Amino acid sequence: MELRIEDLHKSFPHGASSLRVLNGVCLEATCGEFVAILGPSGCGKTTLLNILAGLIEPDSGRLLLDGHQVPDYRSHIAYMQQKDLLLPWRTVLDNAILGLELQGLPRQQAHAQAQALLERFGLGGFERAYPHQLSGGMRQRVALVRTLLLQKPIWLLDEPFGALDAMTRSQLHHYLLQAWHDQKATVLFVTHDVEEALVLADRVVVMTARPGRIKAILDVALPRPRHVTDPQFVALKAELLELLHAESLEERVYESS
Amino acid sequence: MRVLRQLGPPLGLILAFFAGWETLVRLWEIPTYLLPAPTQIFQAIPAHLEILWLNSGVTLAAVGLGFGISLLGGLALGIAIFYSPMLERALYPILIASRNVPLFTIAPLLIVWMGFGLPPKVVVAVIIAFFPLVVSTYDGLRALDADLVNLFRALGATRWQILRKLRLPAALPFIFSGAKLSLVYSIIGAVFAEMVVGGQVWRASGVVAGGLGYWIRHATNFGHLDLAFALILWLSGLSLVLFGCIVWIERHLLRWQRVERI
Ligand SMILES: Nc1ncnc2c1ncn2[C@@H]1O[C@H](COP(=O)(O)OP(=O)(O)O)[C@@H](O)[C@H]1O
Ligand SMILES: [Mg+2]
Repeated sequence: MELRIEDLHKSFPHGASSLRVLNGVCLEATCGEFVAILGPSGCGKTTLLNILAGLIEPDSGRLLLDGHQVPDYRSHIAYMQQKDLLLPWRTVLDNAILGLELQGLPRQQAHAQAQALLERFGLGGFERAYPHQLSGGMRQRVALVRTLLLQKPIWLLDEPFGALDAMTRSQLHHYLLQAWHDQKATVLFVTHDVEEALVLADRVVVMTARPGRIKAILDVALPRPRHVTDPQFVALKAELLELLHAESLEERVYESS
Repeated sequence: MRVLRQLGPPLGLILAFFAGWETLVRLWEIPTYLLPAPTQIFQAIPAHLEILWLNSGVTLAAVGLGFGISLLGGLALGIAIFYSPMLERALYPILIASRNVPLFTIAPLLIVWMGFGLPPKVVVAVIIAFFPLVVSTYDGLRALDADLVNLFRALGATRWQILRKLRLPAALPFIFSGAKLSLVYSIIGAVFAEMVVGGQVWRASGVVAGGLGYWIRHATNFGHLDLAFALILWLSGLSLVLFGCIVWIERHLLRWQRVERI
């Protein structure tokens, strides 16, 4: 499914005035495209995804799916939030099937689907564990499995591997790409890790400091799997770091009433 | 073994207390109508088993009904207040204030209105057992992390699904603390009402079936302090069993809180 964001604006009330967070964001992801979003922290990446997921209303701007404004666009979107948001009273397996269960799928069927994906993401043997028994990285993986199980055409992933060590991270990149390939989903992947963006994405979008807007878009025309030592990879990485560095020096606070 | 280690110290203390009591009563030759010795109290239990047995049923009926109504009504009203800002504004302050008012003192009036028997006891029990459940249900529902609601909304959950699969499970620890308080209150309410309600019109097998509360007062008035203490002991045992049931259900439903890190 093709995703198109047009001129998105969003401010939050901030004391007596307001804090401008998104300032005219335009973005496009073609069907089955993997787009990574990079930006300094606080620039509005999470706010952008929250709007796309329908959790908050933008002040202005449009969201088009396959070129149309779809009233129930939420039903086409799977959103993994930055916090893992697991239910402490549910086991790993029951947390993973939450979305399927809410859609009315019989539990047995949902369990079978979840089981396979949990194993693939290295959670085999932990199905009966409760969230507080797991490490931060494992909890994130459960949340990711819960998101992927929904089989939606659009995935919004907000720093899904933020709490992982480098080793497991590259393993999970592999599995995520596999799932993306299998489901042919359109992905918006927020990260603060330049290398991660380049390993995964077809295009990398760099946002400005707050108020966020798109600063630059880089095509990553490298075949997968990508190698961090590839000269082209290194060049792209240098370019992205440059862009980000300039932004981090420029953090601004716009206040208007 | 663990149970023994937990129960050992308090049981030991209680035994020591009874032993001291027994010694003093015998040493000073205190008459039974002033203070019976523990051995006399324990002898009174098998001697009056019929009274204890029959009246336990009477009291438990009032406690059970009072607690049941409080539980269902408290949950329902707690949920209603949570969803209706108007109800919340109107009722919540009253609920909080009512906790500081000795409402059970209307028991004598209830007898005037409702006569003797089960109804006034149940009403007194409900009047004091109801509010802790409303308040704890409401507080529990309110304590929920808004991000979790957003998660459910993003997953396309209906309002009913959000209540059943998110809000109520999340509020359960609160609801249980309210329910435990509420159970204790319904016992206090029912027994207090029985003490006030006094002699019962109906008898079972020749025994006045006014409930344990009625008999505690009756036995005290007539100087049968061994029976009065036996009744109090018996009632304490019943309360502990009922409380134990709730704790057991709580432990079962909230077992996720107790599993250890892997
Ligand atoms: N609900 C909200 N109310 C007020 N301010 C908010 C809210 N959500 C986010 N913000 C502010 O908006 C800015 C962007 O936040 P966020 O989108 O979470 O940034 P990022 O994900 O890029 O780190 C931050 O300064 C944050 O404090
Ligand atoms: Mg964020």
